[in-house]
This record gives sequence, structure tokens and C-alpha cells, in this order.
Amino acid sequence: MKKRFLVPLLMLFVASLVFAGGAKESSDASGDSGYRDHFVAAINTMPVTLHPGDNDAPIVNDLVYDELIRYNKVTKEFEPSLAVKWEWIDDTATAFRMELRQGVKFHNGNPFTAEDVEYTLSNKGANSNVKSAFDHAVIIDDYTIEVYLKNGDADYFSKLSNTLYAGVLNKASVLADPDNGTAIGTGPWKYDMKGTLMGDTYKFVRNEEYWGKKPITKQLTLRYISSASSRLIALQNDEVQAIMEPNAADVDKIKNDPRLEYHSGTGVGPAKLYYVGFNMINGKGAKNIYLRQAIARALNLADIIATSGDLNAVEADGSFWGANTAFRAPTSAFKVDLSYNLEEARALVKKAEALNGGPIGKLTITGNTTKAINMSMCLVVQQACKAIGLDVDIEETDSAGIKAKTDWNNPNFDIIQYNVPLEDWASAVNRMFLPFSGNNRALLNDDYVTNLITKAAAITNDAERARMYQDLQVYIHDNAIYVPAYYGSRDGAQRKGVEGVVWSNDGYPEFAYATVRK
Amino acid sequence: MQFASSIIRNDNMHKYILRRVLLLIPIILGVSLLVFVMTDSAEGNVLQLIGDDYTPQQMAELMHEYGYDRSVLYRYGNYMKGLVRGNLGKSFIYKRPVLELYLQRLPATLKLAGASILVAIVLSIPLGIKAARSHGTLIDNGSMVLALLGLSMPNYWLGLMLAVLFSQKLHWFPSGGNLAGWKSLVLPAITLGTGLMATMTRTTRSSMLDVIRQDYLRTARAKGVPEKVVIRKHGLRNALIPIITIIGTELGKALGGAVVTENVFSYPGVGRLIIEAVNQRDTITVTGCLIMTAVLVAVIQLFVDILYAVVDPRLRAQYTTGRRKRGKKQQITTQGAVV
Amino acid sequence: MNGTKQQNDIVLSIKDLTVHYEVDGEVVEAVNNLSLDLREGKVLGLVGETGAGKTTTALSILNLIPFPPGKIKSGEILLNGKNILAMNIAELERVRGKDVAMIFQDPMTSLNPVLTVVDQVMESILIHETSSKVEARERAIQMLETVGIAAERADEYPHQFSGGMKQRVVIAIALACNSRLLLADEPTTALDVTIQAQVLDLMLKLKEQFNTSMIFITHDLGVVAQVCDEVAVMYAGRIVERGTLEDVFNHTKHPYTEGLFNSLPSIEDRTARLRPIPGLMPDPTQLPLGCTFAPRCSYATEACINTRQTEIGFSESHFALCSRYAEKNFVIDRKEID
Repeated sequence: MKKRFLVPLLMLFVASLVFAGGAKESSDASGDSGYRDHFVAAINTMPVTLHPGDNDAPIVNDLVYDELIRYNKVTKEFEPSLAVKWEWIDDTATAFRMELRQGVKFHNGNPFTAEDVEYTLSNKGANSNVKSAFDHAVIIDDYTIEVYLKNGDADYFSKLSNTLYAGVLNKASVLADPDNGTAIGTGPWKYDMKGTLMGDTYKFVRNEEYWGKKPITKQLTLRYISSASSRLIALQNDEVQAIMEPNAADVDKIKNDPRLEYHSGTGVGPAKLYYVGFNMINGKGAKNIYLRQAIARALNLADIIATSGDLNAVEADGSFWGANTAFRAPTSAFKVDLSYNLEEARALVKKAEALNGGPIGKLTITGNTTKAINMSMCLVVQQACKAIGLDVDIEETDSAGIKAKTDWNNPNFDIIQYNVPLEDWASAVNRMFLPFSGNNRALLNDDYVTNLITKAAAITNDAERARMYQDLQVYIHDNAIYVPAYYGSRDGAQRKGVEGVVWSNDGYPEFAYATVRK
Repeated sequence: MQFASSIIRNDNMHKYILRRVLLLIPIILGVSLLVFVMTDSAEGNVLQLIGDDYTPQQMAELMHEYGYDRSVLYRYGNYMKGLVRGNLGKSFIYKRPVLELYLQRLPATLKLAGASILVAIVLSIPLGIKAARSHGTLIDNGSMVLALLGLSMPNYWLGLMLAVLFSQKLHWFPSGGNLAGWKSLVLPAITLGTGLMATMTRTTRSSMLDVIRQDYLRTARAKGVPEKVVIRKHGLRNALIPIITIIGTELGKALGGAVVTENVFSYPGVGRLIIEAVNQRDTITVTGCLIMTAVLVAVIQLFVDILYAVVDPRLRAQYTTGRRKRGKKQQITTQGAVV
Repeated sequence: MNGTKQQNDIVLSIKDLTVHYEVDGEVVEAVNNLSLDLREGKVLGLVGETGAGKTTTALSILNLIPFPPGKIKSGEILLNGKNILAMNIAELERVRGKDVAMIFQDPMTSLNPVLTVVDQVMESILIHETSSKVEARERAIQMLETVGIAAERADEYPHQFSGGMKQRVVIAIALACNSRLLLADEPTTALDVTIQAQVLDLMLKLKEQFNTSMIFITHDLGVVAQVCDEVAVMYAGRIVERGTLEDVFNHTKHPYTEGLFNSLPSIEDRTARLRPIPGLMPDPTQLPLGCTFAPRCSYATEACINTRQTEIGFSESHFALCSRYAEKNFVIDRKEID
């Protein structure tokens, strides 16, 4: 009698786990405009925290926070944002005054004042790119502030334009709630914490009180879908209206699909530079310039690009500066020729062996080999070295492992294969050469370089600065500390009828003003 | 359900449950030590990962604060100090309590686990019964091959294939996420369930084969019980007993987080949380989640064991004192039937 | 039921039953051209060694021979005038448990371990009779009490009972619907002697109470003597001698039957040697055309081995399958008792 119920009861228990409610997607039906209320995009890099300064990517930061100064990736111009006026008040780029926009409110209604700027730029708010230079601020009044830096930094305004570095926080909110208070910004979108699941889905609602241009779309959802194939399927199904970085193999399919559009980020925003670097502390190349130059001349950049699968990659020309930065040195300035030439490369190996007092021995190259694009580049380097008589082992690891291998106190590699996004300002590359900087993967600690950088950073006179950066570039190039390979591109795809998405070459698209027609 | 409730109210059963709950303590100790040490010893630590832009001095301070300048056992000790107070710690990466993160994801994982077990049951039990009844024939061997197929198909591939067919081509189900209610569950559940199917089909089949041979089926037939009822009431009811245990085990496995399936369908379950935490070397989150999973699995096993006793009367003596009404024993002897 | 009073009197009539088992390409001839009749209220003892085909015969009556590998090759089994072997499944399910019931050999495995004993008795009643659950339960409890199981124990499970009690439950299940014919396959073999006596007593009591006809399968001649009215002796799938109890015990004709009696130890002469029948039962896949017992028979002649055996009658009730009785004056050693 009772037993009869046991099996169906068991099934019911199991089934109840399944049917315990489920969120329904909010309806898309809007009243007046010809646009849908809800826009969904699929991203492949996850913002991890609610603190803008702790994140790796500005995709979410751009939505929720405003920067002090806005840099338009398309026109490459500075525009006022939360700051309406800014100027240096000395000529060593150490102090500046800012006038702030009035009447701006944070998402929770708190007013935006100079206090918040001080808080953000100081040790509490921003990314270390910004806060490490900050010394102190003087608040003149609610909307005027003077900021004093530790060292001159002529490009400081550019840094302020990146919400990853300096998305403005509300001091009062953060003090009241250290964990969640950082989620309050002034931006066009507000976090919808109910619909947000950290690490998976990020939901935003339009900030109705936004001081600037209000988005047309009312709700925005970003879904973290790590598999490119899954992203594409979601796009084809209209479950999402835009996706980041489809598989290279699917690009043709997208182009041929009448419902979809393919967009490359080439030309918009900074590109990621893929390079090979040498461990300058205790690697085999640290004290052997000929070894470094030999490997530089052994690399056929066309090969590297071909195996990368990146359809829009641009070959580097030897200059180590960013592709779009000002004060880029022409290749004619270089004193040493490091172009591809196997014969010369082998000759350099001989010189390297002489300097070393014997054969070089096994070299290790490391990179984030969990990504195919990095693994294939490592393989090409390995082959190239083999062609000139050098034996190279690939040490596979992931992004966390790279950080361990390039630890300043205990580095453990000879060659590193990596990439770095290079913003458009002149000194964007500096962090690759400054000691103890996280992006200085070659672990370079060279006084000449450091002094030159520090001096150039403080100079506001463009011509003088240009000369110094030129010297720097020649030095870096001729010493083959880093060997630039190519500027990568990033792409995306969206459905026809989608407008307003800015696809950028650094892989961080802007969705703030994305719309999709009904 | 008078027997079920009598069992649960019984004292011996209480003692048994208490014993099992106390067993959780060494389990938690073991899991935490193992997971913590393993994650911690992977190359790279979480501070290095997020500390891209700290000055060396700030880095040194942080390392000291979190114990990365000492041995792994020191860090483990710190962790346990928090654990005994019920504090699973705070994730380095998400900056939120691990328990909160886990509980946020748990309902999704429970739903997926439940749905996949359902799929597996619906597929494997009839298949196992058919195989047993057609023992030795093509159908029997065919079903075993089919079950094995379910196990061998890699979840990543199967998931994508299902997504392409049912989501992209037919538009029946969403290709991922957890936003469409029960529909979001179907494809991931089928992907996971076919993997669970193999063990369950085999067990059903061998259990059924065992039961089919039993004499009491013949007794039932001799009574004139219709064949369908013989199979269902007399055969299946007995055959299902070992299957319940298997269901418990498989449910435990599914709850551990079906990482690959969750990845393909970007399904926000515990598995995905754990794998992202591993990638970021977020030791605290990984350890905390795995401890919670271990506890959950242990609780389910306990439940299954109790269910086992409820379903199989022969086991009840283990748990109950088998009290009968007083004076019964005497009554029997006075009736003369001493046996 | 239709038919004359004479026909009504015959509860079971088996005509020329042949059952084969096809195993691994070989054919086991389990039952060969077997015929017998059973009248209402009579108890027939079916005697024989293991492997003689007794259980097969009983299972045939229910048409429960497992289909592979067993096959009923020919014959008719008329139960209350209807041919069991010609019935479809639905009719069979109606007949089993109602018109004919069976008690199986091993009580330890014959009961479903997850159902209570009253459930298992009730099941028969609910299938065959139109009663409510409450009524069925009452009848079941009554039946259990009749076989000596207290009403308070009705909701217990088989594993809570001893072997003898289990057998009683099996009997209760079999008799739940007061079947006309009861097939008891060695119901006491698995029990020890004292319990055996009690169970036999019970069966006799029930036979009197309900006037049930029985086929009592056993290899124990002592039990036959206690319980049976008629006897049929089986060897290698054939009935080699049949008759009333008096006929077969006191006027034994067939050498095999004689051998069975001889192999019983004598209670009077305790020091006498045992006299088993030499040799073994023949290989059932290779049965000879002639007398199957001939190889072991002390009276066998050339003719026995080659001649196809036919039944020889000694009285209205008494028959034996021995061609030597065609000769005048052939007698076996065993003395006749009057």
C-alpha cells in the first residue's frame, strides 16, 4: 500500500528540484520607440568584482561609472565628462586644477563633489596606474580641486580617461558599505543586483537621472559565455544581440548570414601588441645581447601572424611603441638592423656562444598556453630557434601561472611570450619598462631607461619629449629586450538592426548606447 | 507511510542518524586539507594574479596579511580557525563571502542535478528492464551498447550538438543560461543525464535479471497475477532496491558540479564557480565550495540509506528494535503453533 | 460446468502429455506420453526420484513451463473439462490460482520479501473474486488463522517467519480462493520432520474441510502412505505404475516400484544392509525406445530393451508399464499383502 507511493514520491522529490521556479525574461514589448527595451550581449571576459579598480576589463566599468575626462576612441579627442576643465598649474606636470561638472548625482542620489574625486584618485579608489602617482589633493570648493602628483606625469589626463583606472566612486557610499558601496557610480547604467549573478550574468537598468546622453535601451544584460561556439548559437537564436570575439573559423558563416553582421575593431582604440620578451634578471638572455638579437632576427613575423588565426593582424615594424601613440620613432632611427634574416641570426648565435664561453644550452619559453593563439606563437618561436641551432622548451601554464613565473623575487623563465594592450597616449608603453610594474614582463630594471622615462613623463613640451622618447625607443629596440611581433585585432558580431555598439581593437567593446530595432 | 514514520521516530534510527552526522566532521577535515593544499600548491597565487599594479612594498604587505610569506599549513591553520566558527571565508576575487557565492549558485545546480537524474531514470530503467527481459538477445546487447554510448560521448560535443539541433535549428530550447525557466534545463540535463545513464542501465538490468530468476515471481504467476503486474509489483519493486543506492551515488556526482556541461551552456551552477576560482587560484572559494559539496553529498547518501531501509523491510531490523505489541509472543505459543 | 455427472467427477485429465526442454542444442525429454485422471476429492501421490519429471508435469497443468527452453510438444490437459493447453493468456490467468493452485517446493524463496504476508494472500482474492479490499483482507486473515498464523502477525514480512511458518503462508496463499485442484510440489521436503507432521496434518484437515483434490508430489513413500488415496510412480518422464494406495503398496507390480520399497531402511531389522537400486537414471537426452528402466532392472530381458512399452492392466484401477507381465506367471520378488 505505502510502497506503491515510494517510487513516484522519489520521482516527485527529484522533479521538484527541477521545477522550483525559474526567472522569466522581462518582456521586450516597448510602447513608443521602434527599439526594444532590452539588449543582451555575450561577453567572453568576466568582470570579477564590484570595484572598478580591481577589474581587468572596462566593459562593465564603462557602463556604471564615468571617467573624469572622456577619450573618444573614434575621433581620438578628449571630451569633458565629470570634469569640465582641466589644466596643469605648473610646468613639470606635477600639479593640475580641475573644474567639475555640477548637478551630477550618483545612482543612489548622493551628489557628486570634489570629495569623491579626491577619494577616487587616492589610495582608495582607482587602479594603481592612477593612484600610485597621486600624492595629495586640495579641495578648493565642491566643484574645484587641485591635485598634486608624486612625480611629473604628462599623460596623467589620459589615464584619467580610462574607467578601468579611474572610474569615479562615491566616498560616502563606499565608507557606508565597503563591499557593495563601490557598485555605485554616476554612469548611464545602474547595477540591477537582483538580476546579477557575479561571474555569470550582469544586469543593468538605465539611469533615468543621467547627466549626459541617456541610452535608448532600458535594460542591458551582459552574459558571460566562455565558449565561442555557444556565443554564436545564442546570437543566431536572438538570445543575445551582440557577441564578442567569434571563432575565426565562424567568421565566414557570420558574413554569409543575412541576419548577422561581422565587425572588426581595427582602427578603433588601442590594439594588443603580441611580443616576445627576455628575462633580464636571471634568464640566459639577461647578460647576452647577441643571444637576444639572434632570436629577434630568427623570427619571421609573417609566420607568426599566419599561425595566429587573427585575420586583421598588423605586423610590427620593430618599433616598440604602440601603433597609435604619439612620438613614435621611425624605423630609420634604429641603429641596429633586427629584421628577419636567418644567416645573420646564426652569426649572432656564434657571437652569443663566444660571449657565453660555450654553447647556450636549453632555453625555456613560457606563455599563457591555455589559449591557442599563444601556444601557436610559442611553437613558431621554438621552431625559429631550432633553425638557428638553439634548443627551446615550451613551459605551458595559464594566466595565473605566468604571474608566478614572472615574479620579481623569483623569476623562472628565459623567454616570455605575451601581449599587452597599448593605449594611445605617448607613455602608455612605459609600464613595460618600469621596474616592479606588473606589465614589465621582461623584468627590466635599467637605470638609464628608468631615468629617461621619469624625466620624459614630467615634460610638457612636446618637442623635447619626442626627442627623449625617440632615444628610449632606439635603446629598447637595439638591445632587443622585447621583440614586438604583431598588433592583434579584436572583433565581434551583432544582429542586423543593432546600432550603437563600439567594437574596439583592444577587445573591450562599448555597449552603453547599444540599441536593437524591434 | 506508517512504517516510514515509525522508523523515523524510532530511537535506534536517531542514533544511527547521529552517528552519520558526526561522520561529517572527519569528511570535512579531510576534504578541506586535501583541497586547500592542492589548490595552494598550484603555480601562482591569487595575490600575484590580482596584484598586477601593487608596488613591491604593498605586495609584501598583502602577502604578509594573507600569510603567503609562510607555509601552506600556516595558511590552512588560519582557514580552519575560521571554519570551526562556521565561517567559510571571503573570496579574494569576488570579495564576497564564499558561503553567499555558493548558496547563490546552489539552486541552479540542484535543479540541473535533479533534472539529469530524471532524464537518466526515464531512459535507463525501461531500457534496463527490457534488456533483462530479453536477456541474451540483440535487444539486450543493443541496450548495453546504447548505454555505453551515453557514457562515452564527451559532454562538450554532445552539448554543442544538442544546442545546434534543438536550439539553433529548431528553436525549441535556449542555447544557454538559466533565464528561461524549465526550458533552460532540458538540453544540459539531457547532456548530463546520458552520462549517468550507463551505470543506471547496467544496474537495473542486472538487478532485474536477478529478480526475474526468483521463485516468488513464479508463485505470483501461479496465482494468476497478470504478467504486467508480476513484472511491476513483484519484479520491479524488488529490482529497484539496489537502484536507489545508485541513484544516490549518481546524484552526488551530478551535484559535484558538471563543469563541462555548465561551461558549454554557460549555466550558472556551482561547477562553473569552482572552475573559475581554480583558474584564479582563489583557494578559499575552491575549498569552501568543495567542502559544501562534500557535505551535501554526504547528506544525500544518508537520506538514500534511510530510504533504503524504508523500502526494503529486511533491513529494518538494523534500524529498529522490531517492537511488537506486548503479549504477542505468548499468544502464539498458546495457539500451539510453536514454529 | 457442462457435462454429465461422470465428467464433473473428474477434476483433471491429462492425456498423452509430452514436454521437452531444448538446451544447448540438445533435447531433454522430460515428460513422455503421460496420462492420468484425478477425481474430485481424491489425493494422488506422484512419486519418483529427482529428475523423473514430476515438477514438469505439475507446471504443465498450470501451463507455466518457461517457454525457452521448455516446450509442450503434445497432449491435452483437461481441467474441469477445459483444455489448459489451448487457453490464451487471459483465460490462463483466470484459471491459475482459482481453479487450480500450486504450492512450491522451497518456502524460503517462494514469497515476495517486500510484501506483507496478508498482502500476498489478499492478492489472489482480489484478482479472482469481486470483493472490496476490506473484505479481502478479512478473508485473508481468516485463511492465515486457519493455517495457524495469528492475526496479529498478518502485517509482518516473510523474513520475520521461520521456514515452517512460511510454508503455512504459502499454503494459505494457494488455498485463498478455495481451488478445486491443489498441486503440492514436495511441500514438506524443506522442513524438518516434526514440522512436516504438522503441515501434513494441516493439509489433510483442509482437504476434508474444502473437499479439495490434490496432486501430492513427493519422493517420500512414507508421506504417500499418510496422505494419498492414489499413487502414480514416475520414472524418466513416464508413469510406470499407477493405482490406489492399496494397489501400489500391497500389490506392487513394477520392478522400479519394488526397488523404491526395497531402498527404504527397515525399522525392524536395523542391522540389515541398505539395498539401493543399482545404476543411475538414464540420460534424458538419449532415452531408449524400449523400457527406460531396463538397464537397472534385475528382471530385464532382451525383449525389454527393444520392445516399446505399453500399459498392462491388473484391475480397474491398477496399471503398470512392464512388458514382462505379458508373459504368464511373471512375478517380482516383493510379496503381496492382502
